[in-house]
Amino acid sequence: MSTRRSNRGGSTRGTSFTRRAARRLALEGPRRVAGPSGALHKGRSSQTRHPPEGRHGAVVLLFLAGFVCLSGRTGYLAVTERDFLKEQGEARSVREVTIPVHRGMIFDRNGEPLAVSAPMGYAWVDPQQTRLSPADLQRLANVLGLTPEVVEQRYRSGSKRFAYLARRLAPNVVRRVSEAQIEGVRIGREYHRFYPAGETTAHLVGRTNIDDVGQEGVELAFDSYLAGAPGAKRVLRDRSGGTIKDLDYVRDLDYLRAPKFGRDVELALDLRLQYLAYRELKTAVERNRATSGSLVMLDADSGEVLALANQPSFNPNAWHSRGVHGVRNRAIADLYEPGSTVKPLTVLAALEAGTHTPETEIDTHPGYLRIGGKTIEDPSNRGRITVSTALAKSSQVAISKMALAMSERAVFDAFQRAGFGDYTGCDLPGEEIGLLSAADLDKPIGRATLAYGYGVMVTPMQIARAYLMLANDGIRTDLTILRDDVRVRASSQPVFARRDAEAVAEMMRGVLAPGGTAPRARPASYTAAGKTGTARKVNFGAYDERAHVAFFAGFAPAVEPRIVLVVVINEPRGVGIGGGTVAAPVFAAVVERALRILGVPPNGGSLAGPAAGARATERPT
Amino acid sequence: MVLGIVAWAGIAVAGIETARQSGEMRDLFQRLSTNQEVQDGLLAEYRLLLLEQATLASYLNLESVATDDLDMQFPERIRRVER
Repeated sequence: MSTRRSNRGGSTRGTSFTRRAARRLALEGPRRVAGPSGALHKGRSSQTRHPPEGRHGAVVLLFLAGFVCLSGRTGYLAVTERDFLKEQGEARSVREVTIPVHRGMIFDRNGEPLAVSAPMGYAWVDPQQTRLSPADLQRLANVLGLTPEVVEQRYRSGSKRFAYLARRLAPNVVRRVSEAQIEGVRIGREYHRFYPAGETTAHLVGRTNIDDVGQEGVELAFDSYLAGAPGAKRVLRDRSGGTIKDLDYVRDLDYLRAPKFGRDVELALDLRLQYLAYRELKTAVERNRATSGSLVMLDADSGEVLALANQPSFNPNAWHSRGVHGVRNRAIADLYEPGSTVKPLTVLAALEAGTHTPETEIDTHPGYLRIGGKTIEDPSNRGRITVSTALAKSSQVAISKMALAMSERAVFDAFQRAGFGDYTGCDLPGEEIGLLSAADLDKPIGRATLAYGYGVMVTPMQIARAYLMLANDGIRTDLTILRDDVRVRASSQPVFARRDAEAVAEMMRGVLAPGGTAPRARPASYTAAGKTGTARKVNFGAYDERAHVAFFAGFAPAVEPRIVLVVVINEPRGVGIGGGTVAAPVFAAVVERALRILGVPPNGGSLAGPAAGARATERPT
Repeated sequence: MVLGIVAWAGIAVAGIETARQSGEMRDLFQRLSTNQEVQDGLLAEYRLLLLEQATLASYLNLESVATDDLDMQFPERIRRVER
């Protein structure tokens, strides 16, 4: 109080004192002073708004020290404990999840689906955590359409932590299982393969197993392409387990596990032609009570497989229904001695060698030929016949004489160039390359029998490839089951002179003409060229007189062919057993309808007159 | 002092905006996930329908319906019909 009173005096000295005091107060802060009564009281309020400089500095220093400590600790942890902390952080919020992929579809050349993966369900339990009561088993059995015993057996036969109760459950069954709300029974989702065309395309398309892995046909040949590969990604999860952010794909040893989705495959197959082929072959096998049969249809221009059918077949949607017997793709896996179907190749070799022309006459009198103690015979004595007639009538004697007039390797080389003893390029798994041996070429009987199709083993697909070469004027092409396969064009190469191939193709038309071995192979509205074959089968080391294989191979139309077709009927037991009786009608029926489906205008055939099939002046301009 | 206040204000605004963007991103991610689930469901349904269509339209089924239900016959012989 005294201080304030003295200041109020108003002297200059007093004023300067007040300023000094104020400055000191500003620096030192308010302090308590003693009044007259000796009691302490606060200084002026204006003094409290200006804290002392030392205290301010201390606070700043304190904050700075705290900041430095925290930064230092952070830096220390970031450097020394980085991996541990990162791991712990990720363990709490980052999860790896699998990205499922489903198998690609298979289509025919017109976009018709041949194999489709559809979502299905499966029911499973954890046997260690789940105890199914008899009532639960009964309810499950009712829902799944099984007996309680089967459900219980599956429940007990699984691993300790996982047991399938049922797989391939349709969506409505999955819904019923969910609605049953049986404790511990869980539902999973998986994809399964379905084949809408069923038996019709079974051998070409193939099948997958229950785990969706290719087992046969295209499904096996293109398994990795169709299946793709599931990926894995890291995701950030919140406390409730929901994903809130995708982080990255999982890396395994620098391999990024991004999903590879299964890709679709487009086949060269035409489902319309395939069904036609399947139906006609099945009818022929049943009608002739044959053991089995095969049919291969190729696009004469591109070498694409338009149809491939076998009997017996199987249902790939329930593939175990016919066992292994029906699963075999006989068109590429069964080997036959081709019999007379190779005679056009022998004639081609003779034309190339210059030993014969189509008009060259060969004496087949007296209807048989003895070579080294063996007898080769024709059904009758045909006397002197031209090479064209020898082919049309399938004379063993004439063909044998032609082979013996050529060099030792001429016929063998022709077969080799036609593709016998080699893969056809169709890439189907299980394909056989057959047998073409030069071991007996030094023996006349070996050369003679080879010339009419014995001592060589081929598949129906190899015969089709050889006839494709004949239809293509001597250009051999790899076969393909894919549409627009660029590899095929690259594989094309001329293996015979065009003139010779054309001459042989022309002679083959006589086979279907009246007087040939297969007038029944003539389509009603189209010209065609081909050759029959009837080969005896070997049983127990010797040729069986009662077991035959009937062939017909050819192409149509005869000029500018569109399709090449091979029909094989194995061990027919009907009225006829020969290629001209058993296989030729199948050729005629399939060619007639197939060319109509392909939009080829009729150009002759049996309805046009008896000589139309042998007419040589129908080449379109 | 003013600069400091502006800086603090900027940091605060940036923080709020970051939080807002983060929330928005989560919402968008949830919508994306939902859409992907819908897409998967539709794809599965499409495959089932495709399968059903292909099965119904298969030639085996057509012939079965034609012969059994409609009493039709497959022509065994091709004949030319002229008017």
